[in-house]
Amino acid sequence: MPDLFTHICVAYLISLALNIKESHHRNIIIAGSIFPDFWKIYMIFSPFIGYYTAKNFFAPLHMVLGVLISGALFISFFEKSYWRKYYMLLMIGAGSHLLLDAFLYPYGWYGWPMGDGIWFLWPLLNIEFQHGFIWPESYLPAVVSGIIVCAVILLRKYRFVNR
Amino acid sequence: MDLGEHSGEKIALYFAEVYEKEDMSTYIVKVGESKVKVVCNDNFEEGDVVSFNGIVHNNTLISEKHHIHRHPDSAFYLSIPAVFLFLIVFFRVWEFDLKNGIFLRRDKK
Repeated sequence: MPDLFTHICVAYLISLALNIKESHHRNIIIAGSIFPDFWKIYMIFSPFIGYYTAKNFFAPLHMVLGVLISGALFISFFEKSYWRKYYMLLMIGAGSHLLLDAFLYPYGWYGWPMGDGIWFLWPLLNIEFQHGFIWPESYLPAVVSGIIVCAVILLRKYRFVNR
Repeated sequence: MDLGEHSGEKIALYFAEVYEKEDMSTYIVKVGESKVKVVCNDNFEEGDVVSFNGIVHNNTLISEKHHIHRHPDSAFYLSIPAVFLFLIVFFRVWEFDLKNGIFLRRDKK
């Protein structure tokens, strides 16, 4: 999806769907849902090393292999006894992020003619996996997912839904 | 960027910025650092952000479909509060232990 707000809302709904009750587990799924977008730190580096160099250097953080590797690095900042469980939860969140991003129109990340979409499976496959259902600037997914999350939180608060 | 290599092919230009209007339907657009000539029957202003889909003919993209991005930065502006929301939610549960260099759960202290 275009924005992190939608990713966080969807990750929260996934954690409810998976019946995850502990807040620290839910937290890791939400962290995972915004994790692939850490590649956007290229914006900080681009004035120093150039726009395309910075973009191409950090772009693998938004691909399956990059997420698997950098996710393991991130999880190493937690207690060792939880590594396996937290890694799985982080990957659920990150997977939801990549899946939702696949529904977008391409951003033109690399600049034509190199390819406009996200190469999710790079370096195994140089295929763009974006299908063009939603324009990246659309705020509709954020509004819809935000309303659903607010409704769920209110329902849970007033105990219409089991906690 | 050389459109000539793609003559006769159907291509898409995403998030191109209208740089200059040549005549009623011909525009020079910027994609990254390159400039491309596009023929499109809609009326654009300089600085508009537009995505095009069309066929390349004589080094020019003949647009068949286009989409004007009225608010191309909305995802960025929606993401800023989301980052703060995430940091608040995250650090309500976790705190960073500088001594050991790991995140510790607040409820376990």
